[in-house]
Amino acid sequence: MAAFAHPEIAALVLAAPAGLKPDEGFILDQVMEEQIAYLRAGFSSAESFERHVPDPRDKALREQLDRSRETIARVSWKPYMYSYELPETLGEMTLPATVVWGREDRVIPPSSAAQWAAALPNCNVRLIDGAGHFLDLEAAEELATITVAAFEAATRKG
Amino acid sequence: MFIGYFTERPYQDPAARFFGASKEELTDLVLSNADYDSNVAHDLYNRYFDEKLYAEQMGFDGLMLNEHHSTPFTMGSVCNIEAAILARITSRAKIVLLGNLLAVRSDPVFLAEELAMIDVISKGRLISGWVRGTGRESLSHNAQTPFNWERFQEAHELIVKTWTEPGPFRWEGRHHQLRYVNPWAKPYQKPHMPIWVPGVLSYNTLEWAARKRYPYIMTATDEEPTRQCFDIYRKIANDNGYEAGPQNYGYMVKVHVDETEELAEATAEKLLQGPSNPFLEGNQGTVKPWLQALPGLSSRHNMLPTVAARANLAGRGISTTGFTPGTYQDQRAKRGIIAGTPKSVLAQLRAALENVRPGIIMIWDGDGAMTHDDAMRSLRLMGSEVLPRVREFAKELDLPGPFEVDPATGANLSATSEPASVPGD
Repeated sequence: MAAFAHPEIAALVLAAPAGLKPDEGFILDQVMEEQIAYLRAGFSSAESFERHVPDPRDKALREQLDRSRETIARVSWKPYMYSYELPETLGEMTLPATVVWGREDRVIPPSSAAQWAAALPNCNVRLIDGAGHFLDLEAAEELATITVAAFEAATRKG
Repeated sequence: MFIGYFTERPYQDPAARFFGASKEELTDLVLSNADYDSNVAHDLYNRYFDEKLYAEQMGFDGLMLNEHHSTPFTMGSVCNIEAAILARITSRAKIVLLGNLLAVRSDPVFLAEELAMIDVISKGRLISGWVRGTGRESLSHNAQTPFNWERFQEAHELIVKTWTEPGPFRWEGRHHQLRYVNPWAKPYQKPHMPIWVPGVLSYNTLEWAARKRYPYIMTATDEEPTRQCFDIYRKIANDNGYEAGPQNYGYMVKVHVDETEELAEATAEKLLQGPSNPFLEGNQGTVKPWLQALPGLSSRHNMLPTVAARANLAGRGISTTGFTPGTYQDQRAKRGIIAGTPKSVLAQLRAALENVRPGIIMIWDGDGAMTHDDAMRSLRLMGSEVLPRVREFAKELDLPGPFEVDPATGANLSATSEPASVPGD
Protein backbone atom coordinates (compact mmCIF):
# COMPACT_ATOMS: atom_id res chain seq x y z
CA MET A 1 0.00 0.00 0.00
CA ALA A 2 2.79 2.38 0.91
CA ALA A 3 4.54 1.62 -2.36
CA PHE A 4 1.51 2.32 -4.50
CA ALA A 5 -0.26 5.09 -2.55
CA HIS A 6 2.58 7.15 -1.16
CA PRO A 7 0.93 10.57 -1.71
CA GLU A 8 -1.35 9.65 1.16
CA ILE A 9 1.43 8.39 3.42
CA ALA A 10 4.18 10.53 4.93
CA ALA A 11 6.48 7.88 6.26
CA LEU A 12 6.60 4.25 7.14
CA VAL A 13 7.51 2.75 10.50
CA LEU A 14 7.70 -1.02 10.52
CA ALA A 15 7.92 -2.87 13.86
CA ALA A 16 9.60 -6.26 13.40
CA PRO A 17 7.74 -6.87 10.15
CA ALA A 18 7.14 -10.21 8.49
CA GLY A 19 7.27 -10.35 4.72
CA LEU A 20 10.86 -11.20 3.76
CA LYS A 21 12.38 -14.64 3.94
CA PRO A 22 15.15 -14.40 6.54
CA ASP A 23 18.64 -14.94 5.22
CA GLU A 24 19.46 -16.57 8.53
CA GLY A 25 17.11 -18.88 10.41
CA PHE A 26 13.34 -19.07 10.05
CA ILE A 27 10.30 -17.15 11.12
CA LEU A 28 8.91 -18.98 14.15
CA ASP A 29 5.96 -21.04 12.88
CA GLN A 30 2.77 -20.31 14.78
CA VAL A 31 1.18 -23.38 13.19
CA MET A 32 3.78 -25.70 14.72
CA GLU A 33 3.97 -24.10 18.13
CA GLU A 34 1.69 -24.67 21.06
CA GLN A 35 -0.27 -21.45 21.53
CA ILE A 36 1.24 -20.34 24.82
CA ALA A 37 4.73 -21.40 23.77
CA TYR A 38 4.36 -19.16 20.73
CA LEU A 39 3.13 -16.29 22.85
CA ARG A 40 6.01 -16.76 25.27
CA ALA A 41 8.49 -16.66 22.40
CA GLY A 42 7.23 -13.22 21.48
CA PHE A 43 8.69 -11.73 24.67
CA SER A 44 12.32 -11.12 25.46
CA SER A 45 12.31 -13.14 28.69
CA ALA A 46 10.21 -15.37 30.93
CA GLU A 47 9.85 -12.48 33.38
CA SER A 48 8.54 -10.17 30.70
CA PHE A 49 6.07 -12.82 29.54
CA GLU A 50 4.78 -13.31 33.07
CA ARG A 51 4.46 -9.56 33.57
CA HIS A 52 2.44 -9.06 30.39
CA VAL A 53 0.50 -12.33 30.47
CA PRO A 54 -0.32 -12.99 34.12
CA ASP A 55 -2.84 -15.74 33.36
CA PRO A 56 -1.90 -17.83 30.31
CA ARG A 57 -4.80 -20.21 31.02
CA ASP A 58 -7.35 -17.42 30.62
CA LYS A 59 -10.13 -18.76 28.41
CA ALA A 60 -10.62 -15.53 26.47
CA LEU A 61 -6.89 -15.36 25.75
CA ARG A 62 -6.89 -18.96 24.55
CA GLU A 63 -9.78 -18.30 22.21
CA GLN A 64 -8.06 -15.20 20.89
CA LEU A 65 -4.91 -17.21 20.22
CA ASP A 66 -6.95 -19.90 18.48
CA ARG A 67 -8.51 -17.30 16.19
CA SER A 68 -5.13 -15.71 15.54
CA ARG A 69 -3.62 -19.07 14.65
CA GLU A 70 -6.47 -19.92 12.29
CA THR A 71 -6.15 -16.55 10.57
CA ILE A 72 -2.44 -17.13 10.09
CA ALA A 73 -3.22 -20.58 8.66
CA ARG A 74 -5.67 -19.02 6.23
CA VAL A 75 -3.60 -16.10 4.96
CA SER A 76 -0.01 -17.25 5.31
CA TRP A 77 0.12 -21.04 5.26
CA LYS A 78 2.87 -21.13 2.66
CA PRO A 79 5.24 -19.60 2.15
CA TYR A 80 5.05 -18.85 5.82
CA MET A 81 4.98 -15.11 6.47
CA TYR A 82 7.05 -13.99 3.51
CA SER A 83 6.71 -13.24 -0.16
CA TYR A 84 9.25 -13.72 -2.90
CA GLU A 85 7.72 -10.76 -4.74
CA LEU A 86 7.86 -8.26 -1.88
CA PRO A 87 11.52 -7.18 -2.30
CA GLU A 88 10.77 -5.91 -5.80
CA THR A 89 7.78 -3.93 -4.55
CA LEU A 90 9.78 -2.50 -1.67
CA GLY A 91 12.45 -1.38 -4.13
CA GLU A 92 9.93 0.94 -5.79
CA MET A 93 9.15 2.75 -2.57
CA THR A 94 10.70 6.19 -2.08
CA LEU A 95 9.03 7.04 1.24
CA PRO A 96 11.24 7.42 4.27
CA ALA A 97 11.04 4.18 6.23
CA THR A 98 12.17 3.17 9.68
CA VAL A 99 12.48 -0.47 10.61
CA VAL A 100 12.40 -1.12 14.34
CA TRP A 101 13.49 -4.42 15.82
CA GLY A 102 13.97 -5.89 19.26
CA ARG A 103 17.41 -7.38 19.69
CA GLU A 104 15.86 -10.29 21.59
CA ASP A 105 13.25 -11.12 18.95
CA ARG A 106 12.78 -14.91 18.82
CA VAL A 107 9.90 -14.85 16.32
CA ILE A 108 11.60 -13.15 13.38
CA PRO A 109 15.40 -13.03 13.44
CA PRO A 110 16.63 -9.47 14.19
CA SER A 111 19.15 -9.93 11.37
CA SER A 112 16.17 -9.49 9.04
CA ALA A 113 16.31 -5.76 9.78
CA ALA A 114 19.33 -5.48 7.50
CA GLN A 115 17.40 -7.18 4.69
CA TRP A 116 14.63 -4.61 4.99
CA ALA A 117 17.16 -1.81 4.97
CA ALA A 118 18.67 -3.25 1.81
CA ALA A 119 15.30 -3.65 0.13
CA LEU A 120 13.92 -0.21 0.99
CA PRO A 121 15.76 2.60 -0.82
CA ASN A 122 15.22 5.16 1.96
CA CYS A 123 15.36 3.22 5.21
CA ASN A 124 17.03 3.40 8.55
CA VAL A 125 17.08 0.74 11.23
CA ARG A 126 16.54 1.12 14.96
CA LEU A 127 17.35 -1.83 17.21
CA ILE A 128 15.98 -1.82 20.74
CA ASP A 129 17.93 -3.53 23.50
CA GLY A 130 16.11 -5.92 25.78
CA ALA A 131 12.98 -6.16 23.61
CA GLY A 132 11.49 -9.19 21.86
CA HIS A 133 9.01 -9.44 19.03
CA PHE A 134 6.09 -7.73 20.73
CA LEU A 135 7.57 -4.26 20.62
CA ASP A 136 4.22 -2.62 21.21
CA LEU A 137 4.06 -4.34 24.61
CA GLU A 138 7.67 -4.49 25.71
CA ALA A 139 8.99 -1.24 24.25
CA ALA A 140 5.89 0.83 23.78
CA GLU A 141 7.51 4.15 24.72
CA GLU A 142 10.56 3.66 22.53
CA LEU A 143 8.40 2.59 19.62
CA ALA A 144 6.13 5.60 20.05
CA THR A 145 9.09 7.97 20.27
CA ILE A 146 10.67 6.52 17.14
CA THR A 147 7.35 6.69 15.30
CA VAL A 148 6.66 10.31 16.23
CA ALA A 149 10.19 11.31 15.33
CA ALA A 150 9.99 9.56 11.96
CA PHE A 151 6.76 11.32 11.04
CA GLU A 152 7.96 14.70 12.27
CA ALA A 153 11.08 14.34 10.18
CA ALA A 154 9.11 13.31 7.13
CA THR A 155 6.64 16.17 7.60
CA ARG A 156 9.44 18.73 7.98
CA LYS A 157 11.06 17.55 4.78
CA GLY A 158 7.69 17.50 3.02
CA MET B 1 -22.66 -59.07 5.33
CA PHE B 2 -19.34 -57.82 4.02
CA ILE B 3 -16.41 -58.92 6.19
CA GLY B 4 -13.09 -57.13 5.84
CA TYR B 5 -9.66 -57.53 7.41
CA PHE B 6 -7.56 -54.64 8.62
CA THR B 7 -4.31 -53.88 10.33
CA GLU B 8 -2.48 -50.56 10.54
CA ARG B 9 0.71 -52.34 9.40
CA PRO B 10 2.79 -51.05 12.30
CA TYR B 11 6.51 -50.56 11.99
CA GLN B 12 7.61 -53.14 14.53
CA ASP B 13 11.21 -52.87 15.53
CA PRO B 14 11.88 -54.53 18.87
CA ALA B 15 15.26 -52.81 18.90
CA ALA B 16 13.62 -49.40 18.75
CA ARG B 17 13.14 -47.52 21.97
CA PHE B 18 9.51 -46.75 21.11
CA PHE B 19 8.42 -50.34 20.58
CA GLY B 20 5.65 -51.46 22.91
CA ALA B 21 7.58 -53.75 25.16
CA SER B 22 9.73 -50.83 26.26
CA LYS B 23 6.66 -49.17 27.79
CA GLU B 24 8.24 -45.87 26.86
CA GLU B 25 5.68 -43.21 26.29
CA LEU B 26 5.94 -41.80 22.82
CA THR B 27 4.54 -38.53 21.59
CA ASP B 28 3.42 -38.57 18.00
CA LEU B 29 5.19 -36.21 15.60
CA VAL B 30 8.37 -36.28 17.62
CA LEU B 31 10.13 -39.37 16.27
CA SER B 32 12.76 -38.88 13.61
CA ASN B 33 12.85 -41.16 10.60
CA ALA B 34 16.51 -41.60 11.45
CA ASP B 35 15.15 -44.58 13.40
CA TYR B 36 13.85 -46.16 10.18
CA ASP B 37 15.57 -49.43 9.28
CA SER B 38 14.79 -50.39 5.71
CA ASN B 39 15.64 -54.04 6.36
CA VAL B 40 13.04 -54.19 9.11
CA ALA B 41 10.58 -52.39 6.85
CA HIS B 42 11.25 -54.77 3.96
CA ASP B 43 10.37 -57.78 6.09
CA LEU B 44 7.30 -56.10 7.52
CA TYR B 45 5.83 -54.95 4.22
CA ASN B 46 6.13 -58.45 2.86
CA ARG B 47 4.81 -59.99 6.06
CA TYR B 48 1.69 -57.85 5.82
CA PHE B 49 1.19 -58.83 2.18
CA ASP B 50 1.47 -62.48 3.19
CA GLU B 51 -1.17 -61.93 5.84
CA LYS B 52 -3.46 -60.18 3.36
CA LEU B 53 -3.07 -63.08 0.93
CA TYR B 54 -3.92 -65.53 3.69
CA ALA B 55 -6.90 -63.42 4.76
CA GLU B 56 -8.23 -63.73 1.23
CA GLN B 57 -7.72 -67.50 1.35
CA MET B 58 -9.53 -67.64 4.66
CA GLY B 59 -12.61 -66.08 3.11
CA PHE B 60 -12.50 -62.40 3.95
CA ASP B 61 -14.49 -60.33 1.48
CA GLY B 62 -12.24 -57.31 1.71
CA LEU B 63 -8.67 -56.35 2.52
CA MET B 64 -8.65 -52.92 4.01
CA LEU B 65 -5.82 -50.41 3.83
CA ASN B 66 -5.50 -46.96 5.33
CA GLU B 67 -2.91 -44.23 5.29
CA HIS B 68 -1.26 -42.13 7.96
CA HIS B 69 1.88 -40.12 7.45
CA SER B 70 5.17 -39.45 9.25
CA THR B 71 4.49 -42.09 11.87
CA PRO B 72 5.61 -45.64 12.62
CA PHE B 73 2.18 -46.90 13.59
CA THR B 74 1.07 -47.13 9.95
CA MET B 75 3.60 -48.18 7.33
CA GLY B 76 1.14 -47.72 4.47
CA SER B 77 1.50 -44.00 4.07
CA VAL B 78 1.14 -44.45 0.33
CA CYS B 79 -1.49 -47.13 0.57
CA ASN B 80 -2.25 -46.97 -3.15
CA ILE B 81 1.08 -48.69 -3.75
CA GLU B 82 0.00 -51.50 -1.44
CA ALA B 83 -3.39 -51.58 -3.15
CA ALA B 84 -1.75 -51.86 -6.56
CA ILE B 85 0.33 -54.81 -5.38
CA LEU B 86 -2.75 -56.48 -3.89
CA ALA B 87 -4.54 -55.92 -7.17
CA ARG B 88 -1.92 -58.14 -8.83
CA ILE B 89 -1.34 -60.79 -6.16
CA THR B 90 -4.90 -61.39 -4.98
CA SER B 91 -7.73 -62.69 -7.10
CA ARG B 92 -11.05 -62.44 -5.33
CA ALA B 93 -11.16 -60.11 -2.33
CA LYS B 94 -12.12 -56.48 -2.64
CA ILE B 95 -9.36 -53.99 -1.96
CA VAL B 96 -10.82 -51.45 0.41
CA LEU B 97 -9.13 -48.08 0.83
CA LEU B 98 -10.33 -46.27 3.93
CA GLY B 99 -9.11 -44.11 2.78
CA ASN B 100 -7.30 -41.64 0.61
CA LEU B 101 -6.66 -38.14 1.90
CA LEU B 102 -8.64 -36.04 -0.54
CA ALA B 103 -7.86 -32.69 1.01
CA VAL B 104 -4.15 -33.34 1.22
CA ARG B 105 -3.58 -34.29 -2.41
CA SER B 106 -2.48 -31.30 -4.42
CA ASP B 107 -3.72 -32.85 -7.68
CA PRO B 108 -6.89 -34.96 -7.36
CA VAL B 109 -6.63 -36.06 -10.99
CA PHE B 110 -3.43 -37.89 -10.15
CA LEU B 111 -5.37 -39.75 -7.46
CA ALA B 112 -8.22 -40.47 -9.88
CA GLU B 113 -5.72 -42.02 -12.27
CA GLU B 114 -4.04 -44.14 -9.60
CA LEU B 115 -7.34 -45.51 -8.39
CA ALA B 116 -8.61 -46.19 -11.88
CA MET B 117 -5.45 -48.15 -12.66
CA ILE B 118 -5.82 -50.21 -9.48
CA ASP B 119 -9.44 -50.90 -10.33
CA VAL B 120 -8.55 -52.01 -13.83
CA ILE B 121 -5.59 -54.16 -12.76
CA SER B 122 -7.76 -55.85 -10.12
CA LYS B 123 -10.62 -56.25 -12.60
CA GLY B 124 -13.03 -54.14 -10.62
CA ARG B 125 -12.17 -55.09 -7.05
CA LEU B 126 -11.36 -51.65 -5.68
CA ILE B 127 -13.53 -49.88 -3.12
CA SER B 128 -12.51 -46.26 -2.76
CA GLY B 129 -12.81 -44.35 0.46
CA TRP B 130 -12.16 -40.78 1.40
CA VAL B 131 -10.83 -39.28 4.60
CA ARG B 132 -9.96 -35.80 5.75
CA GLY B 133 -6.97 -36.85 7.83
CA THR B 134 -5.66 -35.49 11.09
CA GLY B 135 -3.15 -32.72 11.64
CA ARG B 136 -0.34 -35.20 11.11
CA GLU B 137 -1.41 -35.74 7.53
CA SER B 138 -1.91 -32.06 6.71
CA LEU B 139 1.49 -31.22 8.16
CA SER B 140 3.25 -34.03 6.37
CA HIS B 141 2.23 -32.68 2.98
CA ASN B 142 1.61 -29.07 3.99
CA ALA B 143 -2.08 -28.96 3.07
CA GLN B 144 -3.72 -25.79 4.29
CA THR B 145 -5.98 -26.91 7.11
CA PRO B 146 -8.64 -24.18 7.16
CA PHE B 147 -9.67 -25.30 3.69
CA ASN B 148 -9.55 -29.03 4.40
CA TRP B 149 -13.30 -29.55 4.18
CA GLU B 150 -13.68 -27.40 1.06
CA ARG B 151 -10.78 -29.17 -0.61
CA PHE B 152 -12.20 -32.56 0.36
CA GLN B 153 -15.53 -31.83 -1.27
CA GLU B 154 -14.10 -30.23 -4.39
CA ALA B 155 -11.59 -33.03 -4.92
CA HIS B 156 -14.41 -35.56 -4.64
CA GLU B 157 -16.49 -33.79 -7.29
CA LEU B 158 -13.48 -33.52 -9.58
CA ILE B 159 -12.51 -37.17 -9.18
CA VAL B 160 -16.02 -38.47 -9.78
CA LYS B 161 -16.31 -36.28 -12.88
CA THR B 162 -12.91 -37.51 -14.06
CA TRP B 163 -14.07 -41.10 -13.65
CA THR B 164 -17.48 -40.70 -15.22
CA GLU B 165 -17.45 -38.01 -17.91
CA PRO B 166 -15.61 -38.15 -21.21
CA GLY B 167 -12.56 -35.92 -21.36
CA PRO B 168 -10.99 -33.67 -22.04
CA PHE B 169 -12.60 -31.08 -19.86
CA ARG B 170 -11.44 -28.01 -18.02
CA TRP B 171 -11.82 -27.59 -14.26
CA GLU B 172 -11.90 -24.16 -12.67
CA GLY B 173 -12.62 -24.71 -9.01
CA ARG B 174 -11.93 -22.77 -5.85
CA HIS B 175 -8.96 -24.92 -4.92
CA HIS B 176 -8.10 -26.81 -8.09
CA GLN B 177 -7.69 -25.47 -11.58
CA LEU B 178 -6.79 -27.80 -14.42
CA ARG B 179 -6.59 -26.96 -18.08
CA TYR B 180 -6.78 -30.47 -19.44
CA VAL B 181 -8.45 -33.34 -17.61
CA ASN B 182 -8.32 -36.43 -19.75
CA PRO B 183 -6.50 -39.29 -18.01
CA TRP B 184 -6.39 -42.37 -20.17
CA ALA B 185 -7.11 -44.76 -17.31
CA LYS B 186 -10.78 -45.03 -16.37
CA PRO B 187 -12.33 -47.28 -13.71
CA TYR B 188 -13.15 -50.88 -14.54
CA GLN B 189 -16.38 -50.62 -12.55
CA LYS B 190 -19.18 -48.52 -14.02
CA PRO B 191 -20.08 -45.81 -13.45
CA HIS B 192 -17.17 -46.00 -11.02
CA MET B 193 -15.97 -47.99 -8.01
CA PRO B 194 -18.03 -47.94 -4.83
CA ILE B 195 -17.15 -45.16 -2.43
CA TRP B 196 -17.22 -45.73 1.31
CA VAL B 197 -16.46 -43.16 3.95
CA PRO B 198 -14.85 -43.95 7.29
CA GLY B 199 -15.39 -41.69 10.24
CA VAL B 200 -15.13 -41.26 13.97
CA LEU B 201 -16.13 -37.84 15.19
CA SER B 202 -17.15 -35.42 12.46
CA TYR B 203 -20.87 -34.83 12.02
CA ASN B 204 -20.14 -33.05 8.73
CA THR B 205 -18.50 -36.13 7.25
CA LEU B 206 -21.30 -38.45 8.35
CA GLU B 207 -23.92 -36.07 6.98
CA TRP B 208 -22.04 -35.75 3.70
CA ALA B 209 -21.77 -39.54 3.36
CA ALA B 210 -25.47 -39.98 4.12
CA ARG B 211 -26.46 -37.35 1.56
CA LYS B 212 -24.28 -39.05 -1.04
CA ARG B 213 -25.67 -42.46 -0.03
CA TYR B 214 -22.16 -43.73 0.62
CA PRO B 215 -21.73 -46.43 3.27
CA TYR B 216 -20.27 -44.94 6.43
CA ILE B 217 -17.73 -47.02 8.35
CA MET B 218 -17.16 -46.24 12.00
CA THR B 219 -13.64 -47.15 12.94
CA ALA B 220 -13.18 -48.71 16.37
CA THR B 221 -15.83 -46.68 18.13
CA ASP B 222 -17.82 -47.90 21.12
CA GLU B 223 -20.99 -49.82 20.33
CA GLU B 224 -23.57 -47.50 21.78
CA PRO B 225 -22.41 -44.23 20.18
CA THR B 226 -21.87 -46.14 16.94
CA ARG B 227 -25.48 -47.22 17.01
CA GLN B 228 -26.51 -43.63 17.71
CA CYS B 229 -24.44 -42.42 14.75
CA PHE B 230 -26.19 -44.90 12.48
CA ASP B 231 -29.50 -43.52 13.74
CA ILE B 232 -28.33 -40.05 12.70
CA TYR B 233 -27.37 -41.43 9.27
CA ARG B 234 -30.79 -43.09 8.99
CA LYS B 235 -32.57 -39.83 9.75
CA ILE B 236 -30.49 -37.90 7.20
CA ALA B 237 -31.26 -40.62 4.65
CA ASN B 238 -34.98 -40.27 5.36
CA ASP B 239 -34.72 -36.51 4.98
CA ASN B 240 -33.05 -37.09 1.63
CA GLY B 241 -35.63 -39.47 0.27
CA TYR B 242 -34.22 -42.92 0.82
CA GLU B 243 -34.20 -45.70 3.38
CA ALA B 244 -30.82 -46.56 4.88
CA GLY B 245 -30.13 -50.00 6.26
CA PRO B 246 -27.28 -52.24 7.38
CA GLN B 247 -25.86 -52.03 3.85
CA ASN B 248 -25.07 -48.38 4.62
CA TYR B 249 -23.32 -49.02 7.94
CA GLY B 250 -19.87 -50.34 8.64
CA TYR B 251 -18.28 -51.14 11.98
CA MET B 252 -14.63 -51.81 12.68
CA VAL B 253 -13.78 -53.75 15.81
CA LYS B 254 -10.62 -55.31 17.17
CA VAL B 255 -10.92 -59.11 17.17
CA HIS B 256 -8.38 -61.76 17.96
CA VAL B 257 -9.08 -65.50 17.85
CA ASP B 258 -6.72 -68.05 19.27
CA GLU B 259 -6.37 -71.64 20.29
CA THR B 260 -7.06 -71.17 23.99
CA GLU B 261 -8.66 -68.43 26.02
CA GLU B 262 -5.37 -67.78 27.79
CA LEU B 263 -3.39 -67.46 24.57
CA ALA B 264 -6.09 -65.26 23.06
CA GLU B 265 -6.00 -62.85 25.98
CA ALA B 266 -2.23 -62.70 26.12
CA THR B 267 -2.02 -62.09 22.39
CA ALA B 268 -4.88 -59.61 22.16
CA GLU B 269 -3.20 -57.50 24.79
CA LYS B 270 -0.39 -56.96 22.28
CA LEU B 271 -2.83 -54.87 20.25
CA LEU B 272 -2.21 -52.09 22.72
CA GLN B 273 1.55 -52.34 22.46
CA GLY B 274 3.79 -51.64 19.51
CA PRO B 275 4.70 -48.26 18.07
CA SER B 276 2.33 -46.10 20.01
CA ASN B 277 -0.79 -45.67 17.97
CA PRO B 278 -2.69 -42.81 19.57
CA PHE B 279 -5.94 -44.08 18.10
CA LEU B 280 -5.70 -47.22 20.18
CA GLU B 281 -7.18 -46.58 23.59
CA GLY B 282 -4.69 -47.73 26.19
CA ASN B 283 -1.74 -47.59 23.84
CA GLN B 284 1.33 -45.73 25.05
CA GLY B 285 1.07 -43.11 22.34
CA THR B 286 0.19 -39.51 22.97
CA VAL B 287 -0.08 -36.61 20.59
CA LYS B 288 0.73 -32.94 20.51
CA PRO B 289 -2.85 -31.72 20.54
CA TRP B 290 -2.13 -28.42 18.82
CA LEU B 291 -0.66 -30.30 15.87
CA GLN B 292 -3.33 -32.98 15.58
CA ALA B 293 -6.07 -30.37 15.77
CA LEU B 294 -4.55 -27.81 13.45
CA PRO B 295 -6.45 -24.55 13.06
CA GLY B 296 -9.59 -24.90 11.04
CA LEU B 297 -9.04 -28.58 10.31
CA SER B 298 -12.40 -29.65 11.64
CA SER B 299 -15.22 -28.35 13.75
CA ARG B 300 -14.74 -28.71 17.48
CA HIS B 301 -18.41 -28.32 18.10
CA ASN B 302 -20.28 -30.26 15.41
CA MET B 303 -19.31 -33.71 16.62
CA LEU B 304 -20.92 -37.13 16.81
CA PRO B 305 -21.95 -39.03 19.97
CA THR B 306 -18.57 -40.79 19.81
CA VAL B 307 -17.15 -37.64 21.39
CA ALA B 308 -17.51 -39.38 24.76
CA ALA B 309 -14.52 -41.67 24.07
CA ARG B 310 -11.09 -40.55 25.13
CA ALA B 311 -9.10 -42.11 22.27
CA ASN B 312 -11.36 -40.46 19.72
CA LEU B 313 -10.54 -37.10 21.23
CA ALA B 314 -6.89 -37.74 21.99
CA GLY B 315 -6.13 -39.04 18.51
CA ARG B 316 -7.41 -35.79 17.10
CA GLY B 317 -5.81 -33.43 19.54
CA ILE B 318 -8.99 -32.47 21.35
CA SER B 319 -8.83 -31.93 25.08
CA THR B 320 -9.25 -35.11 27.14
CA THR B 321 -9.63 -33.32 30.44
CA GLY B 322 -11.82 -35.46 32.66
CA PHE B 323 -11.05 -38.70 30.81
CA THR B 324 -8.69 -41.39 32.01
CA PRO B 325 -6.91 -43.63 29.51
CA GLY B 326 -8.76 -46.89 28.96
CA THR B 327 -7.15 -50.18 29.81
CA TYR B 328 -7.16 -53.47 27.98
CA GLN B 329 -9.67 -54.76 30.51
CA ASP B 330 -11.93 -51.76 29.91
CA GLN B 331 -11.98 -52.49 26.23
CA ARG B 332 -12.58 -56.16 26.73
CA ALA B 333 -15.51 -55.35 29.00
CA LYS B 334 -17.18 -53.11 26.43
CA ARG B 335 -16.29 -55.34 23.44
CA GLY B 336 -13.90 -52.77 22.01
CA ILE B 337 -11.56 -55.74 21.87
CA ILE B 338 -13.10 -59.14 21.24
CA ALA B 339 -10.79 -62.03 22.03
CA GLY B 340 -10.97 -65.71 22.77
CA THR B 341 -11.42 -69.08 21.20
CA PRO B 342 -13.73 -69.27 18.18
CA LYS B 343 -16.62 -70.21 20.43
CA SER B 344 -16.30 -67.27 22.79
CA VAL B 345 -15.44 -64.83 20.00
CA LEU B 346 -18.57 -65.86 18.13
CA ALA B 347 -20.71 -65.17 21.18
CA GLN B 348 -19.19 -61.72 21.57
CA LEU B 349 -19.45 -60.94 17.87
CA ARG B 350 -23.06 -62.06 17.82
CA ALA B 351 -23.86 -59.64 20.65
CA ALA B 352 -22.03 -56.80 18.88
CA LEU B 353 -23.85 -57.46 15.61
CA GLU B 354 -27.20 -57.53 17.39
CA ASN B 355 -26.46 -54.21 19.05
CA VAL B 356 -24.78 -52.26 16.25
CA ARG B 357 -26.44 -53.93 13.21
CA PRO B 358 -23.83 -53.19 10.52
CA GLY B 359 -23.81 -54.71 7.06
CA ILE B 360 -20.04 -54.21 6.85
CA ILE B 361 -17.74 -55.42 9.57
CA MET B 362 -14.01 -54.76 9.54
CA ILE B 363 -11.96 -57.08 11.70
CA TRP B 364 -8.93 -55.25 13.11
CA ASP B 365 -6.24 -57.75 14.10
CA GLY B 366 -2.53 -58.46 13.73
CA ASP B 367 -1.63 -55.02 15.02
CA GLY B 368 0.42 -53.45 17.80
CA ALA B 369 3.11 -55.86 18.91
CA MET B 370 1.49 -58.97 17.43
CA THR B 371 3.80 -61.27 15.52
CA HIS B 372 3.23 -62.86 12.15
CA ASP B 373 2.45 -66.14 13.89
CA ASP B 374 -0.10 -64.41 16.11
CA ALA B 375 -1.83 -62.94 13.09
CA MET B 376 -1.78 -66.18 11.08
CA ARG B 377 -3.19 -68.29 13.94
CA SER B 378 -6.09 -65.90 14.25
CA LEU B 379 -6.68 -65.75 10.51
CA ARG B 380 -6.73 -69.54 10.27
CA LEU B 381 -9.30 -69.87 13.02
CA MET B 382 -11.37 -67.05 11.59
CA GLY B 383 -11.44 -68.77 8.24
CA SER B 384 -12.28 -72.21 9.53
CA GLU B 385 -14.63 -71.42 12.39
CA VAL B 386 -15.59 -67.78 12.75
CA LEU B 387 -16.41 -66.26 9.36
CA PRO B 388 -18.82 -68.99 8.19
CA ARG B 389 -20.80 -68.63 11.38
CA VAL B 390 -20.75 -64.82 11.23
CA ARG B 391 -22.32 -65.05 7.78
CA GLU B 392 -25.06 -67.19 9.27
CA PHE B 393 -25.57 -64.61 12.02
CA ALA B 394 -25.89 -61.91 9.38
CA LYS B 395 -28.62 -63.88 7.62
CA GLU B 396 -30.43 -64.57 10.88
CA LEU B 397 -30.19 -60.91 11.90
CA ASP B 398 -30.95 -59.57 8.41
CA LEU B 399 -27.69 -57.67 8.01
CA PRO B 400 -27.09 -57.42 4.26
CA GLY B 401 -23.88 -55.89 2.98
CA PRO B 402 -23.60 -53.33 0.19
CA PHE B 403 -23.09 -56.06 -2.41
CA GLU B 404 -26.36 -57.70 -1.40
CA VAL B 405 -28.52 -54.60 -1.04
CA ASP B 406 -27.68 -51.44 -2.94
CA PRO B 407 -26.92 -48.72 -0.36
CA ALA B 408 -28.09 -46.04 -2.76
CA THR B 409 -31.43 -47.52 -3.74
CA GLY B 410 -32.20 -50.35 -1.32
CA ALA B 411 -32.58 -52.72 -4.29
CA ASN B 412 -31.65 -56.35 -3.77
CA LEU B 413 -28.55 -57.39 -5.68
CA SER B 414 -27.84 -60.93 -6.73
CA ALA B 415 -24.79 -62.55 -5.18
CA THR B 416 -22.97 -62.52 -8.48
CA SER B 417 -24.00 -59.07 -9.62
CA GLU B 418 -21.69 -56.19 -10.29
CA PRO B 419 -20.88 -53.90 -7.38
CA ALA B 420 -23.61 -51.61 -6.11
CA SER B 421 -24.36 -48.44 -7.99
CA VAL B 422 -22.95 -45.22 -6.67
CA PRO B 423 -25.00 -42.20 -7.73
CA GLY B 424 -23.22 -39.86 -5.36
CA ASP B 425 -25.94 -37.27 -5.17
